[in-house]
Amino acid sequence: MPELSKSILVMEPGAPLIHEEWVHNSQKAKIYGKDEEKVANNVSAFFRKEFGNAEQGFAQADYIREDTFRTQSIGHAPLEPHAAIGQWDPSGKVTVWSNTQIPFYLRRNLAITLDMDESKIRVIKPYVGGGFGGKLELFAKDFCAAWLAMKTGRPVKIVYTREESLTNTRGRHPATITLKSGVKKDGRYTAQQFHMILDGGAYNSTAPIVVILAGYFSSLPYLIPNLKFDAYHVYTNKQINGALRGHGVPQVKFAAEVQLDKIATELGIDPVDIRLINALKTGVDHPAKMTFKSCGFSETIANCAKLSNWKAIRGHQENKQGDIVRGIGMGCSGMFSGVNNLAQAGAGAIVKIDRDCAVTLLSGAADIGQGAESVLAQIVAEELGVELEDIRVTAGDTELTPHDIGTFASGVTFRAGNAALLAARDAKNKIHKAVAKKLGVAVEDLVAKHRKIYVKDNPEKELSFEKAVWAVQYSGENMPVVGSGYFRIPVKDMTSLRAEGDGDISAAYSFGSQVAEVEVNKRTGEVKIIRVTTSHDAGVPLNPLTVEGQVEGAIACGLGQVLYEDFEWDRTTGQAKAATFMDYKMMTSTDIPEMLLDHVITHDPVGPFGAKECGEGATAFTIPAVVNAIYDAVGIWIHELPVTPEKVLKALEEKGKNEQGGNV
Amino acid sequence: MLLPSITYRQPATTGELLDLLQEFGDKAAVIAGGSDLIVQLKNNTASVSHLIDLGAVQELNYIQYDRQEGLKIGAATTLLEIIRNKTIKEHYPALVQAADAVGAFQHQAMGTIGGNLCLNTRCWYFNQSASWRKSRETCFKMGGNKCHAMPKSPNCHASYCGDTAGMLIAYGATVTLEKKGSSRTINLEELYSGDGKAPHRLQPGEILTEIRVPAPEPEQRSIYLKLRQRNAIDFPEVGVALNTVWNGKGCSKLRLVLTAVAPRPVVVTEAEAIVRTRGWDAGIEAEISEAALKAGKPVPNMAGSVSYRKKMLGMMTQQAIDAVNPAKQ
Repeated sequence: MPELSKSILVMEPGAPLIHEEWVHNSQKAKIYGKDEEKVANNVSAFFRKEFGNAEQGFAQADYIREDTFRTQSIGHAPLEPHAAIGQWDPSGKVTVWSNTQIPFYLRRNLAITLDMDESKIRVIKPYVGGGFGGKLELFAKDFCAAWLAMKTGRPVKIVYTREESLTNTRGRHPATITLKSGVKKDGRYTAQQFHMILDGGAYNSTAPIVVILAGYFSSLPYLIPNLKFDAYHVYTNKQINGALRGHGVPQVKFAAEVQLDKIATELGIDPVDIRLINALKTGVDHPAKMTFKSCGFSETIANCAKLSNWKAIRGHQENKQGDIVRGIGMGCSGMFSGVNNLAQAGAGAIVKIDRDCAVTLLSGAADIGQGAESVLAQIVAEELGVELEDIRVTAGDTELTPHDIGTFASGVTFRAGNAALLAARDAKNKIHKAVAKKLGVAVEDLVAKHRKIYVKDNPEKELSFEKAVWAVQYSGENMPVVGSGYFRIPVKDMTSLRAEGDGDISAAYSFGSQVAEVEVNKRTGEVKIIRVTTSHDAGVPLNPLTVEGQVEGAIACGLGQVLYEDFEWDRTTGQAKAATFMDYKMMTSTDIPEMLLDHVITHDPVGPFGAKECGEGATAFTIPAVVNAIYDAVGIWIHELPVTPEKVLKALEEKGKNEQGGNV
Repeated sequence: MLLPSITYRQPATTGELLDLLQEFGDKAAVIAGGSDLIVQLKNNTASVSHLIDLGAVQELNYIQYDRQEGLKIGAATTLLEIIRNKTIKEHYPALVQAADAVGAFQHQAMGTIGGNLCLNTRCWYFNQSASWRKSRETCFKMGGNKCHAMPKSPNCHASYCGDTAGMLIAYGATVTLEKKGSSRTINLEELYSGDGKAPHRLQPGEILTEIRVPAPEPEQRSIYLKLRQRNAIDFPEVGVALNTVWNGKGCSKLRLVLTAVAPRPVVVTEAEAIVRTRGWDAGIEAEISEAALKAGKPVPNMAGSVSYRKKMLGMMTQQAIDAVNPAKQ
């Protein structure tokens, strides 16, 4: 795979510099395959996560192994391509409508590039047809729409073609991961050492973030007592890579989860059991001081194994007869519910109720098709005791709505949801104060449900929500009733992504397990996915329908990467040969298997109504689950994505040769 | 990418259609389903100023079957109509397989049999937008001097990828080509030039109007196999169309046609000859596979490595023979 070997070669001293004018072109680094550290070129970001003492940990191990894995670049391919409209107002203000995931960051970046005050720039996010991380930066179309609108005095609209959107924005970082792990003979980890090289393409994009996320989630969802994790983000002369659903975690989990199965196989331990042995648990004392206030991981493993009929299929020889054989494999992960340490990583919300008694929520949250506005409305309705259809949401408009950092790192429900909850509670308190006065009871005695506010022990004493709102008005209090809330996780340093040292990267972590059942055709090498079973701890699935949508979408993303998706980079020009949806092969509805979903409910103490993330976690399960299932079916290990039929046939041939030669 | 400025005509009869074709010559393109043409117009790989829509020419949309004459299909019949036709399913089941292998449901609903037969050849370096192609020398198919898939070759190697052609050729189909004032009928395989740049032997103003398939022989057994990655959308990486006739001793007649391995559907005449001269015996299947491997020359102009596609070509030929062999059911 030329792109990946290039990312290693460009680190070699003497390699051409991608950005000759950049001062920090070199970095002390361990180049893959070579033991000594040397000065490496073209490294744009580096991150080390270390806790315990890996050397000692390996010394304590009964069994150690080292493997290398390689992943390819994939594209976000949202249904709606990147677009923006700019409009200039003679008062000196510019408005940009953008299908962005980050209205407020976009405003800031436009202010910098247009050399204007943020207060003179308005960013409005309309309905967005998907982002998946591909729309969380300022793109040329945003700047140019604004700037050209200013220069011409006319509104300007720029829409990228599908080809531009697919191949000229961002992709997922291809990665080379060398992983060394040590375990006791019962399968318990004693140490892990990761060496990860991410191909960043021509510019930095999210370099510092991806290496940190990969670092923090390299060891989750297991309790690793000693860890050394090094990641290098490298410049190469091709497509820029950035955040894509999982952002570094799917790559590192592919390596960790497949290797874990290899360890289990060598030691004669069932892959389900080895995961249960190492699983993180609620409240565990973590060597790097990460805190797991809710963790249903072990339950997800057990539930997933049961639902997928694991014991009846795994390893059973009757499934391995004939040309088309079945196998089953598991993949697990933990994931962040938002990232604490980013600058301005908070969210504000305003809940406003006027005489018409409809509830307006103003939120900076950016719904990009995942259903954020529905969930925020649910949270507000639940807190106020009204129905979902009573809530009107205005969101993602930098002039009207409070600040929110945007949709990435699976933080919207957690962060903006908590802000909306606090704002709703603030409004509720004002209303309940007036109701308590009118009914002659204490505020604490009131319950709000189904558009009624009533006394807990005397439900006949009640007011409808409407009468309650009017009670505020007629009591002489200010109208409209306005509740405001702000939510952000306290961190030591609010102005930077400080990730060195111990502590949490997120306020809550989701966990999950997934089992893929596959069918392998030993004559053609084709892999067909029969069923994918997931058990997911998202705290509380506030909207089970959208959670299901997220998990199924994540599965489609993972299946596409493990089996088909490949840009087919041309070696001479760096162009993608697969530049259209005809050639860039994503799963179609006819390829998607049966999918089962189980929820493990853990009621996170910090998440709004107990909720944690569910948008990205599931992307990390699927690739290893499929690769591990292929091993169960035909006894081969694939270390490089995508798993093409040709690779499967080649591995089967190798296996056949080894067995004939007496090597098992 | 926007469509170029075009005038649009919708003739109601074949006569009107042929008049328009003569009038506009190569300034016009015929559009039926449009699933290939529209993409080419957006990519600037086709350049016309007039579109002639076949949608209203009812007399080109028909399926007729007769025990003596066999099957007659109007060129503007959609693939979906063919897939759903019980008579075709009964007498030419592999034609249904081939039509159902095309693209996705939407392609089948809009696309026509004539369009699939007249599908332009395909290549990674051709089926791209104008801006993509600008990054490299103009290729033979676009009027330049280079083949990017086979850089040392003096010819265009774009591949023919229509699923139905191979199967119809294997069934012995003929096609009627009409232009104003004349009509001719040829064997379907003669429609294909083998030149990736100009894959169809159509005279100016000429259009394919009818496909005829001879009545099936007793003990005729046929199959279409397609190598593809996904279950929908994808063109074939290899297509194997096999038509056979059996008697008590084995296979007495065999026609094997390959798709996606040349700029034309490839009739494996050697396989035909082996069966005709030697009769059926053990080991003949391996020879037929060998003949297929010699005849099919996939090039690196699509997904799927050449070595894998070659391997599958041999395997699929074997698989096809097993599937039609009454002794192996």
